[in-house]
Amino acid sequence: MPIVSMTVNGRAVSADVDARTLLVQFIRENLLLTGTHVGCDTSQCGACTVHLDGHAVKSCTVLALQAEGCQVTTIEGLATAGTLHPMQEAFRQDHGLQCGFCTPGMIMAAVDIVQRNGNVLDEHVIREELEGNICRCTGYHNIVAAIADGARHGHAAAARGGGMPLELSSEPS
Amino acid sequence: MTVTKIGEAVRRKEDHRFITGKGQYTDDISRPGQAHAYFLRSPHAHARIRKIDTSAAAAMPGVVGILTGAELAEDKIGDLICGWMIHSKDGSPMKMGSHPALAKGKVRYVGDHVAVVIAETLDQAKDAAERHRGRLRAAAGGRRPRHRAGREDAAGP
Repeated sequence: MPIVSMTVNGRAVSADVDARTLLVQFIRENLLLTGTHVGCDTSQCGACTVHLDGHAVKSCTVLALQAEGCQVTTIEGLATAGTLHPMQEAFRQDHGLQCGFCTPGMIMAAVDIVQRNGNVLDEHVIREELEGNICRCTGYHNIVAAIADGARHGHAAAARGGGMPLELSSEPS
Repeated sequence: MTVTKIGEAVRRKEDHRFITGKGQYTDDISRPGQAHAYFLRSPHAHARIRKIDTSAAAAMPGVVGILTGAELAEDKIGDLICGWMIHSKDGSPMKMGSHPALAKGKVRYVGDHVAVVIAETLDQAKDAAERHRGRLRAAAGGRRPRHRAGREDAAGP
């Protein structure tokens, strides 16, 4: 079986994998990071969203071998030493989750949305950008509110000089 | 004990594990020696199940067992229940169709669950199911209703 090596949440990892192993399976089953979820079998739901070299991808549609040599950030890699990422904090404050199953994917997608669209996000833009993430519980209203607030507060924290940076991929989990 | 003042939002207690990826959903559970189940589903919208031959799939590596509607019937396991039954005005129980956990005699939609393969790994379960899908599909042939404009030929309830 081929060996795959990558950096996940700042840690170098390496394993023997079946060539057909999906990145989401590698993350969940080899690394036991079960925060990334499998919600469909059709690449529609986005519960598997992680960052690959800084960009959001659906890890159910990436082979583990495709991530060879890459930097992977999962939901477990966002917070630093007990302090939540502003986006995580925003979801908590704004009741942006109910069962929580879609939430890791929503938060990872949200951080990517901010990276590409800036800190002041229009509701319309957020809703369009969330096309790839499905939620069965909330009706999206509070998710959209959380993302708008998370974007704003990330900016405010950074402006305070050294608060919470938006992407913490270099921190160990 | 924290006392919440009147008018103050009551915060949920469970959110921390969900926003940090530490939830324990069913598929997150991992116990030594656990097996995995994979459901084989019908590719036909409406068909009679003539025969399901599970012997070859059962012999594949890692397979612990394969169950079909026949085993459920043998073990006298009932259908999926309706969680909230209501009665008609005259007191008689509501009428409802049967919802077996695995199809009995007939499949009624694409995706109807026909069999469950249980194996040591999910990949082994999928391999056993997929490599023998041909055999199961052939057995699941049978008469299919034809829909003509304005008229439906029902194949029976």
